[in-house]
Amino acid sequence: MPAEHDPVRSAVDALLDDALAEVRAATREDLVSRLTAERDRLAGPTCAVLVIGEFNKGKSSLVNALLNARVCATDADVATAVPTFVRYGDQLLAGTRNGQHPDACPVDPTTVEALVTAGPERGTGTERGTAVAAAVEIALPRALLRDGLVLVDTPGVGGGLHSAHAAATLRALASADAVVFVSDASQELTAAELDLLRRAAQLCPRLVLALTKIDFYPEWRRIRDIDAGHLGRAGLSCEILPLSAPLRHHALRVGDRGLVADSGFPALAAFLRDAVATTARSAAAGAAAAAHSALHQLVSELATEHGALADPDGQRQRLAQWTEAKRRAEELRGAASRWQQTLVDRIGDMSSAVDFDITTRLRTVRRDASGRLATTEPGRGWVELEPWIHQSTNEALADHLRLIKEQADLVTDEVAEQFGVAAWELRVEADVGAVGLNETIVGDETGLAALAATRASILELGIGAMRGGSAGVLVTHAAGLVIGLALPVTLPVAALLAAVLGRFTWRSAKAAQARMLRAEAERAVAGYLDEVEVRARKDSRDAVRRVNQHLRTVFAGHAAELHASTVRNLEVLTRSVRADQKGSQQQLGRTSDELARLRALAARAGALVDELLGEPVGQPR
Amino acid sequence: MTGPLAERLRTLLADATAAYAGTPEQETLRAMSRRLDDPLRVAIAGRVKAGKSTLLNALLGERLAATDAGECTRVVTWYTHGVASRAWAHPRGAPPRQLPFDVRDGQTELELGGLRAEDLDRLVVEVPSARLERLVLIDTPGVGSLSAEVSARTTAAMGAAGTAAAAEGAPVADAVLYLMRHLHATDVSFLESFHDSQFAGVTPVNAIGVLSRADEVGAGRADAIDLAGRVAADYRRDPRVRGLVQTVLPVAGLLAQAAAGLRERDYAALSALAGADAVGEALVLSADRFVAPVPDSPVELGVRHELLAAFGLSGVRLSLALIRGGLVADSGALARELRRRSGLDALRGALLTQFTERRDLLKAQAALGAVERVLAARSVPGSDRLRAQVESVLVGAHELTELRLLNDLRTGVVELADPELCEEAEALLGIAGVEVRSRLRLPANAPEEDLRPAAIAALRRWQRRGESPIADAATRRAAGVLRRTCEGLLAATPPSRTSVPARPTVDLR
Repeated sequence: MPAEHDPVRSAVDALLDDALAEVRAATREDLVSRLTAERDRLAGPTCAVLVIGEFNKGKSSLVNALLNARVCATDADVATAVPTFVRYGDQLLAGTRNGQHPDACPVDPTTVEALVTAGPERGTGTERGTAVAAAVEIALPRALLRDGLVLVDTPGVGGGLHSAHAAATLRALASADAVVFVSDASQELTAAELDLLRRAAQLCPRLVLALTKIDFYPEWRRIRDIDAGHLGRAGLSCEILPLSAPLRHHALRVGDRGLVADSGFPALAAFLRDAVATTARSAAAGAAAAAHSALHQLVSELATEHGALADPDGQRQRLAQWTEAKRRAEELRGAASRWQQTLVDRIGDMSSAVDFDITTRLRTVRRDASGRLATTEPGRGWVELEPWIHQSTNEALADHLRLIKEQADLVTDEVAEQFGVAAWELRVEADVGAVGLNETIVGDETGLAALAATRASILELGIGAMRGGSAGVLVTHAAGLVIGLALPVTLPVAALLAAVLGRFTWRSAKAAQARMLRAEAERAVAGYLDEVEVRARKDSRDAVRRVNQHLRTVFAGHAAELHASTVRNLEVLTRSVRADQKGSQQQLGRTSDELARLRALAARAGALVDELLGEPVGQPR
Repeated sequence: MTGPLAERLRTLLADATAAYAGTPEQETLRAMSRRLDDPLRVAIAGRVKAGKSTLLNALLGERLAATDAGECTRVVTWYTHGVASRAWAHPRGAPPRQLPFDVRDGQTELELGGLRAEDLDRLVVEVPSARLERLVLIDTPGVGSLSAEVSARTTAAMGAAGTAAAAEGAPVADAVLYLMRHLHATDVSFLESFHDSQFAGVTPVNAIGVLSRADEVGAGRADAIDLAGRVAADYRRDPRVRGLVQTVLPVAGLLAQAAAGLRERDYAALSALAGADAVGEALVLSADRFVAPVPDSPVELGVRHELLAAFGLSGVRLSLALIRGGLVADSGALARELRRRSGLDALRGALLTQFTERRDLLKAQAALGAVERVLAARSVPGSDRLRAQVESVLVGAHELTELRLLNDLRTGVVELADPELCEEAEALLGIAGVEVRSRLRLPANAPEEDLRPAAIAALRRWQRRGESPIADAATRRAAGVLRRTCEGLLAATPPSRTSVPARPTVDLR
């Protein structure tokens, strides 16, 4: 739902409506569908915020306090064992997800707590291994969630009795729009926490450190300062937010504003709203850019007509220019175009890089696992092996995902550049006047102009400056890269692995039996890792394919639009040649007015885009 | 250390020392010989901020170790008995130096002077405390510290596999109190690293897990300590934990420390707060508010600061609840209640039965372990003879065999089919205490005449199980050891006039 209070957003909505009216009037059906798609996208953005941290630091309490509801289980002796997604809904609803079905199955909200703490099945048969859910979804009527915010409470990372599934949190980081890292005020950040923080920051730069339980620990200010020091030394520059969930609950109960401020939650809510706004802004920037490009095409058509009417002598030259432009546009659409070649080549490179990466990473895990099996005593030592294997594979896959994103970035940037340059050359050739968004760029500043053109075409992709301003990032987002991300890896073979390794009680330490057991364990581990590799490879290849398809579709669409533009311009030219003298005077007048109006509208669009991008939204490339 | 076991150990060590003359291992063996007569060394280990120093202070009854919000203990510190209070610094490769210290506000503070933590092997604090007459307590820096080097000092001192101490063959401590606030991967890997070697220093027999800072579980919930009890029970049942420590006990060190140092004026202040209703409620809402300047507070700011520092917010809330609820009427009663709830007494009991009463055995285990390690590290002429000697010591001391079986049962090397059987076996072997009643799983106040029948019944059971044709190797081994244990128990329990005879009498009339 759009944020009614944001004037810029309303301006973008209004712009889209106006632009849609114009393109409908001009019967450009292709532009109509593009703008409609943009408007639909704007209506339902989501901003996923992950709440992560070590076991027992107050993550679930934080989410509950933020929403003033008990959606997450918080007892110390039961741990959150599956991720919980909380989004807006007009009424309280709960559902479970598991890997097989894409949709959530509804459940009774009162049973949610049992599901969340029960955790997915474990072969070693701890008392709590009975649930079937891989994730739980909750819809709640809360103002904070209204603009598309999705809060994700995750199982604690770093050990404890449920470490295996907590490791999947790492992989969910890759698709998060913002991260709240939770540590409590009882002690300073430990080495393990800092490691996790660093990894989180690499995968998602919009990060904040929440320091919880400040009501309980008198020395919380010292801890905050010590933590700030640790962060600085680690090269991390995130803000620290001191919070207290009990204070907030109490404050809301008795209606004490001073207490609400003391609880620290207003600052957290501000961070979240900011994250949502930024996500929405980039979506809005993309929409505005699309509107701008559409309007520009209309402007160029009218300008051609106007030119033809005002200056009939230049007709032949104009015809020549537009014919040339049409030829270039056909070239752009053709398979021999440079951007397509680049796409093919770079996707090929990406494929090999991705394949090699997954092979190497999993080979390392295999080697380490064999090493451990060989050196640790069978029995006790192996019970620890299972969570270690889950952790290692999940870490490897998380790093692999980062590689995919980086590669997607590279591919998109290169292709966009190629396309942008070609598109710009096309426009210059047709001498339509200003290209891109910056009206003041003059023809001879070719370098800057090309840059502006690239930026323009990137924007036309619907990509704004988001999360580092890199183009590829949003492509991967849009392409829906989800390598089983938020849901933990629940392969059936994992249960077998757990059963074998968990069988730490065995008959005797005789050498022969030890050898046999070791062989069995090695088989189980190898089987598990094979399965992981097969799945991961398939997912990676799917990801590469999706990036390929997405880029191709988007850019081919643009090329088609440009082509359609050139065709229409040629038609306009041919039409106006045949007009008679008197009619053309009136026509000229009408056209001038139209042109002025459309140009004004286009300028409005351009200004909006500049405004949306001019805000500091993440780090520049 | 006295007794036949001690004699055999001394002989063994003397022979080994002679055999390894001229090698670096000789020094290890000599040191081990000297240690036989030293008090039991109990190390307190755990992650950073687990509450080790606070617990140490609570055990000793005085605030010797420094505690602080930030990371504090940086050097391994020994607390041992001495006729006067003194502190010594032992720099690496240099003779020990005496250190000045003074006591401020009840807290002892050591002056390191120009010495740096990195240069010190350890600090030794001598205190004329009765509690240290049979124990040496070793406070260690936390593991998992961001300063990896600091944590490394603990792992090195404890003799983890691969460190210098392990190479020397002798971990510093005979037993370990391992503190954790909740089980973390770092804890498990830390404890596991001492299990790597076969002759490791830390086993389920000489390690007790402590769920520390129990008053903070749930961050300020009124039933924090009950909750901590449940969490500890969970950990006790977990197979990984069982293979590492004998049991897990919840302890709130700060509460125990506060109880020990409770003064009349503290009680008066707490009473005043308890009676102040609305103002009192508002004050305990958060730590900040408790020490905020409030106009109509019944207790002045300075006193509130002291209360918070000594009791913690949880302790203050608990005390107020106890006073309001009429459960305590004076400072003595409050101190007793707090002490009871802190779990310190249960811990002291475990320390007594598990460590102190087993002192000789633990020392013997450590000594034998050292010899075995040395034998494995280097072969010299006479190694075989020494190995045979080790074997004979083991065979000759049933208590050591019991310890080994106990260790194997816990770590899964030996598995008995039925968990019930396992529990009975562990109890008989003395996991909960070496005293007869603990072994037979009878209550502490069970009358004398119940002991013998129980012992006979146990003996018969294990005879049957050992002789059963379907018994596997593990059961037979366990049965063999347990039969001997039961026979020992029988020998220790005097026959009473009403005891059941071993064979039913036949009435021939």
